[in-house]
Amino acid sequence: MITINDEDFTAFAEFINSNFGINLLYKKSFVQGRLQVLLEDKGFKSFFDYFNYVLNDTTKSEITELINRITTNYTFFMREEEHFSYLVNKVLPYLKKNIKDNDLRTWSAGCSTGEEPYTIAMLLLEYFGPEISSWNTKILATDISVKALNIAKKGVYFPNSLDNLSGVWKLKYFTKNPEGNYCIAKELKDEVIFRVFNLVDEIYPFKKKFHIIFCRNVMIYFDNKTRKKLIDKLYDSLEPGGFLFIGHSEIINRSESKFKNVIPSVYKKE
Amino acid sequence: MIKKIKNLKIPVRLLICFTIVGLIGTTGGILGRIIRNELISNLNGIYNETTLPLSYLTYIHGNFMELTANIASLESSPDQSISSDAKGITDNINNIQNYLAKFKEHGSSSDITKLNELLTKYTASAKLAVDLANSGRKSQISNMNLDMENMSKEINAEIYNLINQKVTMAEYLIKQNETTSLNNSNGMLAVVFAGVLAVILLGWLLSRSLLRPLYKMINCANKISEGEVDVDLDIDTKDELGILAESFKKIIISLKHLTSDTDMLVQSAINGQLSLRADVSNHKGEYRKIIDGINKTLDAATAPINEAKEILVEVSQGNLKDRLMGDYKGDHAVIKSSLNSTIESLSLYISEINNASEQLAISANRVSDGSQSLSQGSTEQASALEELTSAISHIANQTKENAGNATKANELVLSVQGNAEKGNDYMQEMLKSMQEIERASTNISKVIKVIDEIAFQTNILSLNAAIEAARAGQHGKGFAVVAEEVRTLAARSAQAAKETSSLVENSIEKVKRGMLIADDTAQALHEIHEGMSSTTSLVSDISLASNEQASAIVQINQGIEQLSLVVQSNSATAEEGAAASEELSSQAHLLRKMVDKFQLNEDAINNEGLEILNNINPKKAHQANLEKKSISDQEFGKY
Repeated sequence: MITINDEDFTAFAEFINSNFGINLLYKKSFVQGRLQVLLEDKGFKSFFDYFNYVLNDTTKSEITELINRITTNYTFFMREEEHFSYLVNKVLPYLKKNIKDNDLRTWSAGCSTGEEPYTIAMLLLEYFGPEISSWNTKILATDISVKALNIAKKGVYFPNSLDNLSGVWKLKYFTKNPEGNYCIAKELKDEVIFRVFNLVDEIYPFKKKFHIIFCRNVMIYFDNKTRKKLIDKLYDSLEPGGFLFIGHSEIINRSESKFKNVIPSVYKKE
Repeated sequence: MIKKIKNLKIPVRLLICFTIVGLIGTTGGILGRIIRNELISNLNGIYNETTLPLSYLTYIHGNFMELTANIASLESSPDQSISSDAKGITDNINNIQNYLAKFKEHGSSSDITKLNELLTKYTASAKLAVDLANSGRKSQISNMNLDMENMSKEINAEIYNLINQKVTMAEYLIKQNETTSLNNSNGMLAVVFAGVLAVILLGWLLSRSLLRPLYKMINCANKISEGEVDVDLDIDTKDELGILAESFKKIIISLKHLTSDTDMLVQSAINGQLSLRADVSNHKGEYRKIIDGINKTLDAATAPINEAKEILVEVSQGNLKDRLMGDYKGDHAVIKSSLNSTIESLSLYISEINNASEQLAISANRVSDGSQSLSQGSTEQASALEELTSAISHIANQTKENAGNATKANELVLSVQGNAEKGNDYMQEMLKSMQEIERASTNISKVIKVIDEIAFQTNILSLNAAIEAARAGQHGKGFAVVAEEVRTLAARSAQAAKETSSLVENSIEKVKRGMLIADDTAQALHEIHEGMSSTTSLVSDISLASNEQASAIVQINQGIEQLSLVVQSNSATAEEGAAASEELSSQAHLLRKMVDKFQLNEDAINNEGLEILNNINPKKAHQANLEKKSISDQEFGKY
């Protein structure tokens, strides 16, 4: 078992926090556990050596792998269902009425292994019905973990990830493979653009602002400062009248943001 | 021809050969016999012609000598012995007669007439002598002596003559016989030589015809004895050697079968194919025993291997129930016991792993449940905090308002205190005013009466105007409308006057009551004035408390914010826990899946554990298998 001394760990946690916003300061044993196998695989005797190796790796592949390891990709289809019923019942009717150029821009920020953007894509297909052909509803889905994105792109899911989906939807949007896993339909894959993106980046390189942003259970990994910055950036990235969905356990402090809380964990840019 | 001879059976060939040899021998024999017979007859002739007559001549000579002696004795001997001499003489004469007769019988070739005559004469003289002696006249005998002596000389001479004749003859005959026998023996030798040559030739031919294939077969047998089986035997005759060669060929074929089958078995055994067996029906006798033996050896050698193989195949498919059951000896027994104990240990380990994986699955499930309820709890905490925050901010606002209001209230109370005094003064003035109102009301009643009358008049006027308008016809139409409006206004004026009148009355009534109330109010105002001073201190207390509350609420807010951070961090931890437990579950699932492939003797797995496992998300297990791709394009599509 390779242990990390406090000094190394603090340096590492600060590095991760400043570059990726992830707050690991009180999670030493967690980091130790997650990196154990990686260190053993790569043959490092000490965490210090590994950390230096990562810092000096110009190809950035090591940092990518490190990020793959320390990020948590926990999600499933129709997670936190209230959001989706609000989306369909309130947000989409409102946006459909107000968007003039038929370009609905949705961003799944921190999409993990793709269940969230695919769930949104299903809902959009269901909501717009045949009209969807006259709309551009493509969803942008970003995550910092390349590994999670690869899974998302592949679109093969274990059955219990689909537990919250109805049987009809399972039939409609998935094909079952011989191993009993579910492969997402191509029409849904075509509706989602998966990209690597670090939410902590100073510059958000998007051409247009979004109508809907899902950034759920991402900020829980960030420290307060990073959260505030992120919330401001998300606010700036939204069209006026746009909606931000955050995780059910997340809170945007009223006093610190211009967002208007519409229902718990759903906010609107007025 | 040669072929035909070669195809002849050996006994026939031998018979022919020996017949030829026999014939040659017989010819020799016959020839010998002929020669022998000739020799024998020649010898017989010699014997008869010479030997026998010679012997008779000697006998005759002897007897004659005795006769002469007898005669001499007769003359000289006493009388008493005459008889014996006489008898001797008689006997000798008889003998001589006898031998002469025999001589005649054989020696016909010699002329014995002379001897016969001489002897006859002599015997007659002898007989005479005897008679003389018998008659006692011996003396006379001496007279006869001379004659007799001469006669005896002649006789002897004749006998010798005859003997010489016979000897000469015998010599001649023997010589003749020698020549004949020499010729015969030469011929015989030639014949024998020819016969021997023929026999040698025959023997050589025979041996050649027998030995050539024999040598081939010896050569072949030697090669076979040296282990060579790829031998070609070019003998195709029909004789016994041919048959023998056929047998040899069969031996070779058998040996070839034997070696090829043995080789095949050995080779396949070397190559590890121990299941291959040779067909015993291709072999006979001891060879069959050999092949059968090899087969059985292989069976014996492979039986444990086969069983071990089957067991190992089962093991590789996860079946750990079976054990090697065969009764083996030696190394095989070691293999059996080792393998069985290996499977036994494996079973034990698998069973333990099984239990452990089950425990792991259950634990993972618990962790998963825990993480989920933690996550759920965080969510609930968050929403509770949200509500709390919202409530607190509401309270904060109210408190702020309260504080402000309290200050204002304080100010108000002070002003109210003054105002209450003022109110009392105003109350007096109000009473006066009310009395004036009463008076004014009476005046209003009068005015209303006037208005009522005016309204009545106006109504009549409007009626008249309507009539006038009707008269005016088409031109009065507009005026009729005005007249109608005026009428309505008159009605409404009358109504208003009526209502006003009752209102005024009511007002007067109210004023009266008001005046009573104003008295009470004045009293109350006085009391208010007194109560205000204590109210002032209370309000300032409220103001102070509200300000304190406001600052406390700020602290509460900060606390809630902290709490919210903790909740979010808990939420993250819960997610991490959930992810970890998912991974754990999937690993446990994988482990269980692997372990489940093994069939153990005792079913240590309970179904509950299995069910738990099946309900657990094995998501993460597959993540490792998914390929890694770095995203090169930094474009965001429409974004």
